Amino acid sequence: MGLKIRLPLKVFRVTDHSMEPSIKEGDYVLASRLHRKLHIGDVVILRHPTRNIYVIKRVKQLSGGSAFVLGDNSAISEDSRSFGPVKIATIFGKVIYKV
Amino acid sequence: MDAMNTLARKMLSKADAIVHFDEAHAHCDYPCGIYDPYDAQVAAHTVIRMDDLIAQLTHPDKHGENDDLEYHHSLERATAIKEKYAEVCKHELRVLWGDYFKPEHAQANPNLHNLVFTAMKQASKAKQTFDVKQAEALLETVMQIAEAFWKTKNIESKRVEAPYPTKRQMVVPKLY
Repeated sequence: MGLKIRLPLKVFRVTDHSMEPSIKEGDYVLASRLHRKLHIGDVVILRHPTRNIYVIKRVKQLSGGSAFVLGDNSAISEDSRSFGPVKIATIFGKVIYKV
Repeated sequence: MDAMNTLARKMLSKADAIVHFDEAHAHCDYPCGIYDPYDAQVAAHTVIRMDDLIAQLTHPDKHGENDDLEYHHSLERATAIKEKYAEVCKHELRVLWGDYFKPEHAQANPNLHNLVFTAMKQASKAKQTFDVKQAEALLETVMQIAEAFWKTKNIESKRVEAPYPTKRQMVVPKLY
């Protein structure tokens, strides 16, 4: 039985186009678990509510324990408009660096 | 700064090739957000139309050899098209059900799963028979799914007479 280490920082490679123009496909982002206090406008990495994938979205609204997240490229983004608000607990972390 | 970014990207790209970073999907399930119950309804209308055309065919017993060939040719074409569009209808409903509808939609409309389940069975039944009543039952259920679809988008819908020889209804959104 292996020991699962949850690092406070994690690098992700971005796929798809729904965060364009701010974040493009192929960009690398650094997400931090240490930045737990979220603000409107933050870009976050979260677990998709129904699929076993990470998604990257921008926080549009915060309410109680939930966040309404949207893709910057709203014409093609699947986000809280279709899957609803997400529990903040399901957010992996905040994107603090992009390259 | 650009040079730093370029260097960092190169290093991350090399590291990625070795450790394979997790992907963060900006997530668009192309064609992103473009769903419509229109095609399912058109397919159901096509099934009805084929049943109508088959019913209008004259049996060859009353005619000569050439008419016999023509009869079988028309019957087989109409049957093949009916089979195909019943399957198209099922495919379109599967896409709506599997990709578009979300758990909260089913919560808001507890009959949603049953409607899709029923339509699947009715489409199969429509394939198995030349009974137009089966195809009409399919269309009715597909229209109810279309109404449920537009309701999830808070867009009003209405039933109108479809501009097809079937002379039956279809559900359209009130967009204007």
